Amino acid sequence: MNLTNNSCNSVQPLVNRRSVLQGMSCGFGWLAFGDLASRLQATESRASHFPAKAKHVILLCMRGGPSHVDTLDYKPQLTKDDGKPGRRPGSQLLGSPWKFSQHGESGLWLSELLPNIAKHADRLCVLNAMQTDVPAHPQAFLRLHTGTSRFVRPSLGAWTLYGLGSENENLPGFVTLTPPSGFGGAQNYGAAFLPASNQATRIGSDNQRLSSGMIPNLKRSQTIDSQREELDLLQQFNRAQLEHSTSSSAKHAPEIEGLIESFELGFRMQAELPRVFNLDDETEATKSLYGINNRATEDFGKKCLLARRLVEAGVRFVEVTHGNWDQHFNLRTALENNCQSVDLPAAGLIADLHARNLLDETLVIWSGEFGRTPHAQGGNGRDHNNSAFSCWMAGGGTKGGFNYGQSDEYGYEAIAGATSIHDWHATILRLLGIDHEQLTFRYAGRDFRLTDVYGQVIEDIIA
Amino acid sequence: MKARFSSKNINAVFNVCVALASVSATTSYAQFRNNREQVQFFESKIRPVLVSQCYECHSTDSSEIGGKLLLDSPNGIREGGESGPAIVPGRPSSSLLLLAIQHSEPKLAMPPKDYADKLPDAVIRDFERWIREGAVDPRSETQIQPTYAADEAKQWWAWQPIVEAVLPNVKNEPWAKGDIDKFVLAQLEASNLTPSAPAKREELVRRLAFDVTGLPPTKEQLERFAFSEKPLAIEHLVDELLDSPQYGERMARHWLDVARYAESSGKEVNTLYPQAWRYRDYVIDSFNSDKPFNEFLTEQLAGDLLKSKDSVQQTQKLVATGFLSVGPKSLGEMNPRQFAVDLADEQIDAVSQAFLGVTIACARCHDHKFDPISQKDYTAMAGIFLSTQTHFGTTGGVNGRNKSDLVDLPASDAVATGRKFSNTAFEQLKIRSEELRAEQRELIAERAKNRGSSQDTNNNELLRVNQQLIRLDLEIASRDADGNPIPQAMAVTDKPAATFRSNFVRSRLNRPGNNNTPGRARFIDTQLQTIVDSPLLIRGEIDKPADAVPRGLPEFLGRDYSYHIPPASSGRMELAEWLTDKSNPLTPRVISNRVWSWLFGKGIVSSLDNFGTTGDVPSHPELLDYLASELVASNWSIKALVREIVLSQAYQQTSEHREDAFLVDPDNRLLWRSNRKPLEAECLRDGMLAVSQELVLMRPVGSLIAESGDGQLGGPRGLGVSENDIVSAETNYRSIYLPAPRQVLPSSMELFDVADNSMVSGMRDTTIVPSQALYWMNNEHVEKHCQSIVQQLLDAHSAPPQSAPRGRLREVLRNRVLGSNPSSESPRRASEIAILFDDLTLMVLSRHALSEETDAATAFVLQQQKTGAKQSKIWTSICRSLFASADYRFLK
Repeated sequence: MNLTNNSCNSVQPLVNRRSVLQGMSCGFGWLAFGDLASRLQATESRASHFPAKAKHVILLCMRGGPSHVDTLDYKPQLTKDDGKPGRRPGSQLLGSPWKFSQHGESGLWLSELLPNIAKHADRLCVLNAMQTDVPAHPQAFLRLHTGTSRFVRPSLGAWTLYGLGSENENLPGFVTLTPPSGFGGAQNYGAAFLPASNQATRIGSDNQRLSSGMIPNLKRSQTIDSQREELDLLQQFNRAQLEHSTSSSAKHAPEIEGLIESFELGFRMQAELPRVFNLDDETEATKSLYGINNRATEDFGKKCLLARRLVEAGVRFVEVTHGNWDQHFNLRTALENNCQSVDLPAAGLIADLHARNLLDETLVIWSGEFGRTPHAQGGNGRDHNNSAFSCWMAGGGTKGGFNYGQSDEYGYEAIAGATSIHDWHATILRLLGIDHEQLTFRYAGRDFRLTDVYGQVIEDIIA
Repeated sequence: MKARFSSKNINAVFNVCVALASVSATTSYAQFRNNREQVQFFESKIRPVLVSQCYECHSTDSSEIGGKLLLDSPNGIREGGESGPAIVPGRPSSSLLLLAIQHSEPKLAMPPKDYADKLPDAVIRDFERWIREGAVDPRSETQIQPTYAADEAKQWWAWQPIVEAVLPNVKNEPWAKGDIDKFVLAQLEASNLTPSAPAKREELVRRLAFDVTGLPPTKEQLERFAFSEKPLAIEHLVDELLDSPQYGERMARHWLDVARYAESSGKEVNTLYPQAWRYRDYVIDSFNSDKPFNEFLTEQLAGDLLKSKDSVQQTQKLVATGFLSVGPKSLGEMNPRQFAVDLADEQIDAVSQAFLGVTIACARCHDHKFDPISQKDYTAMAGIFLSTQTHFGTTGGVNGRNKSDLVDLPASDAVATGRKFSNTAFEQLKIRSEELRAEQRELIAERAKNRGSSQDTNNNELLRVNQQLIRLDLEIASRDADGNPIPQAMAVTDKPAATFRSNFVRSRLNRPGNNNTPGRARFIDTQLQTIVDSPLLIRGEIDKPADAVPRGLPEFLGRDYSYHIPPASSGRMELAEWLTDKSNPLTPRVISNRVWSWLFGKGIVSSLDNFGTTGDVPSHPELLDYLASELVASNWSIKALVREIVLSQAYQQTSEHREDAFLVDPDNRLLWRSNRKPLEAECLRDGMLAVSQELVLMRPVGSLIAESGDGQLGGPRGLGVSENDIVSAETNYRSIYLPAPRQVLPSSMELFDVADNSMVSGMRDTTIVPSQALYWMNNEHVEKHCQSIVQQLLDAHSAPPQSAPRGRLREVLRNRVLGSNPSSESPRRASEIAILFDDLTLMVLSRHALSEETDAATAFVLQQQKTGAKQSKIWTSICRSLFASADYRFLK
């Protein structure tokens, strides 16, 4: 790495920068230098434990606990026994105000609240016997994301990124759109003891409407040209400092190399992230597929579309949080509104991924933190229910048109195929080709894993 | 199935199941599941009854064993006592135990009629079923069975006494200035390595300034100690830095990471701690006054129990116990008993990792897998903390769940924070609270009337009233009669001693089958309100209590120490006494190692919070023991320890890379050079403020969170403080005074790897990520500070001398002489650029510019001038680039 002395003459910034990078011993400094070797693994796709189809996850997280008996879990007996005493003393059963019917060749029973998602019945894998341990939002939300509410543990997305690495070093590998600041906040997408780079990049919070300016410092403070010139000056400083970090001829300063590279990537991210963010270059047909031209579906539609664009650009795990699905009262109107705002966009996401041949390698999941009681709360609402709830998955190597697990005749409790959050996590990792018992991280002298000492893969739902 | 259970992390139940299932090699999965269910049945239905109803007279710990019958082991229960086998698996009708609890034979009736009531029918049916299904009894399997090689683990270096240091012989004696150097050099020489040359003077001055105070050296310090012709001895600089109040702030920041200090509860209901800042200030003051570390430790664990000479001292000691109070908490936890054991667990975790470097909390559910710490040891410590009242304030979770009070501070000069009410406003507050209380009574009455009907309940209404009332009560309780805030602190105190009555109520009400009765609720209250020994919780679960373990210290670690915890004391004082006793080798080793890592960037033991068998071994064991015993000998003076370390040759080496040494010791464990350390987030920001002369060194009162008062982070209706207030918080005070809630942090901190303040963190991560680059490139505060620095620079270079006569002629003359134009915006010539750039580099990097840097900067300025860019913009770019460069980010 010879440094040409160019005292007063014009410099050739780009050439200088390239030669700097070419001269790097390892060059790639996106991550830390402390334990570079171990952290580098996080950006290289690791060898999987199993052959797998899914490479990406889009988790559509319905915060608040959507009512399963009004959406995904058909309960004719509940309708029949409407008004009869429920399990809680003094309560009355509430038959779903919405009709269910069979869809697709598979004949999945789905509620009329989800007419567009129902069109993809043969691509859906519906889990009807989900369970979580506590019927309280914060605990259940944390459990859904990290497997526990009692300890600070890495999130599902962080484990996924840690396990598989990122595909695009110009973008973060884990992105979460508008997560709640409460209900465990950053823990829900945190890295805990995993290397910090596995933490999600958060864009917005609390179900905010999507807008530009949601990533700090992403907006250029000057024109691209003058920023590039300034950056070239900086890299010359760095190069000189690298040169002077030792008088010996062999250079070893991975931290400086890392710094140099992080600025190049940051510079590129300024271009790449807004480009991914820019939904304008989608066709009108695509936009209407996601319902972007309709007020009710516009915001969630944009978020789903952004999720697809992120996945397309190589982001490993994208989470989109929606809602408040906590219908203690006003069930009839509020649940209908919620369903309306997510039904078309989620269906559009499935269709769009499929059309782009991305559905096979993208696992789409729609779930809340728990379900709701079959009995009414105040006549037009439902309380929290943790003993049975439903979610659906699509793509990513799951069986289409498939039902797994069963709740009792009213939907109070799982009676077959009970699926704990640990089982659910184990299965998601399995779909990504990861053995949940093998994906461990040593912290404070112990090997930790997402599923603690629990979790059974639900082999039945894997295509 | 084999693969499934091969993981070493499998918990006790699974081990049991494997043991049971592997009786026959052909055991099917169905059988396994069956067994698992039966074990669960035993654990949930049978064991708690045996423990609470039978063990008192029928266990090996009983003072008199009734009928020579032991029910606390599978053998005992099968073999039986004087009357024969208590159970015959599979045959309920032949099982005496069942007949006894059924009261079908009056002679045998158990528990004795004059002692307790007959067990509920449901419980009797459970026993019948259990016996009929084969009486699966996993108890022997869950007994203490260390999975580590116990003897080996006991030989681990960290538990061994500190060895009085013998100074090693070294060949290169002139190099070894002090004792530390002898230890370092001896090991280098043993590996045929030589130490590196001393760092350049200006590098050393910068290193010392940042390491000791967290700030860059002043221009004047650089002048006196580096650039003058006869620089002063470095000892003077060290003393100057140690004596400055910024020393305490720097050390406190390190300690606050260890103490997982934060200003909110974190977890699911992230509630503010508006009084946490007092602990922060206490830590700063303690380092500044060089409080002996043993006192510092004792005050943090038991300050409330110490004698004080006056109210000021008493206040300080109460505030110190904030260490136990500021941890993360699940305020939303619905079970108060769970909340209590989790709180105690968090305290055990913090204390054991911070002071002992041992993860005792690992033994919550089972014996420690790797270290000689049993679940009994854990439980003994849990008793100490369950007997402690933790005052952390807050309105708690929904409906005031888990809310807590604060401790009033006795000192007359203690500062109060929070809003002051006028007399009338305060009166109105009280009236409002009475109104709400009346409303609350009405709503409760109404609810009682409507119970059972299908009418809309008024729960939401009641909830709203309750919430408002809780908040109002808290506001009133934290003010004096005139509405002025009173000084209060987060702290701990001992719970009152248990009375005969509370013990009696407990034993009567702790009865199986009563899970949701009011009796049980009262039992819980009783247990939470007094000093109490904790029951050992099977698998750490609160509904599976086994025998109580007396409050105490870990058996093996405390093996050479005798102590007595009086019945009316929690035992925190005894814990602190043991931690600081000379028989305990861990405490001085752990803190010496921390201080070493604060200065060298790496510990002698690299796992700073874990000295257990899964942690690291020391790179220089004799040196560590030398430091530990020196620390104790110097009356636990941290300043003396810092002084000795930074004055060593080992510390003062250059950080330059050397290929020969690198090939032998790539991680620099042997210290053949100084480590290049990343500057922490606080230093990066404070340094920038210092260079721009905007830094206010005064300590602010409280913090943003103290000002905003009680409430949730991002809570409803504008109470508390918003997430955005925190993320964008900016002041001109040092970063240690920025708001520090859990989960959300000021972005200048969050971007640069500050510690996760929910856990003990001896060492910070270092990441180099593009979001940090974006901060330097685009952040408005960075730009603002750079502009201000550049303004000062350009003004200084263009300002005419104060008395200089004005007039065109003079200006022309001055230009001719100085080659400069007295306008800060005029174009510059190459020679002038070099001078300006060198000045700027001195300000930002505490060194002169490298020739390559000067060349690059000069070319940049000339190029930009051609395009007509303003001087202030050009130089702001240069200034920003210096801050963004490697030599600012990494301390040489």
